[in-house]
Amino acid sequence: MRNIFIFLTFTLFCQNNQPQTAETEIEIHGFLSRGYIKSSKYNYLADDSTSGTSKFGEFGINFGYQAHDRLRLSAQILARELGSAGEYNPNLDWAFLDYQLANWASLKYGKFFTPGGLYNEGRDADFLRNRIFLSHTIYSPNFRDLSTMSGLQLHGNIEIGENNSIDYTFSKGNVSFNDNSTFLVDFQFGVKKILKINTNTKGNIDNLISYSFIWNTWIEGLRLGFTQADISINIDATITPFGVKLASVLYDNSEVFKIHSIEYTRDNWRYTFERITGRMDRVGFGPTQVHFNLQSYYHQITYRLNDRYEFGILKSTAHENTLAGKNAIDQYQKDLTFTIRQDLSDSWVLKFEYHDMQGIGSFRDIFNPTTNATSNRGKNWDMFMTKITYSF
Amino acid sequence: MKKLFKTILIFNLLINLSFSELVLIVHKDFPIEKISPKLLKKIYANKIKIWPHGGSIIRTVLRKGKTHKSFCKVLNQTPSYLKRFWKKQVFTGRGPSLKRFISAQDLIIYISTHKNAIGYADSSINNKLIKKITLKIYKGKK
Repeated sequence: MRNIFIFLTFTLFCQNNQPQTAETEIEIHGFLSRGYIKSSKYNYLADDSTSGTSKFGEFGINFGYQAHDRLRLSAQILARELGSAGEYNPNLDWAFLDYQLANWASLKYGKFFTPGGLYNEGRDADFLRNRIFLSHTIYSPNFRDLSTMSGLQLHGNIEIGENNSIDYTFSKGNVSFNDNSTFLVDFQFGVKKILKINTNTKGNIDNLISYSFIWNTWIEGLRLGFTQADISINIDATITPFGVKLASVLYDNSEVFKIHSIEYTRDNWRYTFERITGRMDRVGFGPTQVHFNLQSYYHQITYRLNDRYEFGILKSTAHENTLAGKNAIDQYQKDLTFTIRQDLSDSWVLKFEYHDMQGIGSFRDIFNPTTNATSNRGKNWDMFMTKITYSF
Repeated sequence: MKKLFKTILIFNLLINLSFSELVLIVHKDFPIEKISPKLLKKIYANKIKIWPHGGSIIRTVLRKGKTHKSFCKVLNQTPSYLKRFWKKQVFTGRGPSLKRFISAQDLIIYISTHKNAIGYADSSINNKLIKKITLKIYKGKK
């Protein structure tokens, strides 16, 4: 809330005191969406998805103001619901000042998207892409809190010769987890399962360093990307209602996250490949253990038939912990998705999606408390989703 | 190889422009006479945000139609990808929205009242409040 106040105060200050060279006004845009999820056998994404749930939607409102030729102010407030999470509580999604130092360099200050693959930016606005959710292999909803960070970011575009350029981003800052973040809720659930106690948990990343490069190659439509992020998460838990502090837990990023990306667009076709690797160890709360050791990737092809219809197919494989064995049902997840996107008008988008799934690697225990590697209902299951979005 | 690629690119642009019969339009007091296709692409890819003489660039397009499709061809884009690209700029805070107009007349009126705006129109257009600028094609310069 304090950040919103600072943003609005700064906007008004700029309006009144800055010599106005830009012919712009405050722009307000937004989106509103509602969806439905039905999965077979297991609850996925939402706690009651096996019986079908329409507790799935977002509302976002977005402000942009060109305070000066070189200075832009932007903010977005987002309220969302996914099963029992979110309940449409509004949060400041991102808000920043972006100052252009030169044609090839700009400096961003505030809360902004963490560099991450080709599509982390704008991940909540599904009308910007073919699929309803981005591929979970790279853009997991379980780690949504890491999608934005607060701090400083240097970014820009550098020309290399006649037909090549590099988009670069260097970010340094921190992340404070939301109290009802998926990561913290799952941590509390894990503690309760083992120690039979309720905890109040705080999570943060003190020093997050992340950078990315996207090479726009001389081949029209071909982009190659690389992202690296060093993410170590501190967790502090106190037992409720006594207030006794448990020993701190560190999720140590023992092998930094790396994402390699390829995107090729030609006419109405687009092919995308992205791969992530990285390892996180849990330090404290017993002996050090591997939390996960990721080796995941996806391939996606989309085809725009006309102004109204676009089709997509995605195949992904996610290995949560390659050290524990690739074939254990709770260590991997495979997804074959078919998507139909229909642009009903300039503002309305309707999507239908079918997922043919294998494995339960990225399941949340809290949604499937009795499911594990030995008590599972089989590796094959499927899921249907639909969503309608209005944007302005 | 690079030279061949460049020749094909220029040839492609020339074909696109001659068939499309569109001209770039700006405010009548706009100080630039020519814009290269490369610069135009960068402008509509949000890689260049400020005019060389100052002022934030305001990009305009028509919502649909033959002229809009021809313009998208010049940018090597499809109309739907261009629309989605600019929505993404807005919903990631990267830049302002693309000003989209239903009629060519509305687009011209907008440009005639905004000094930093750029757009396009059919080459037959004749209006004293706007200036036509040509796309400058570089030939054989290394």
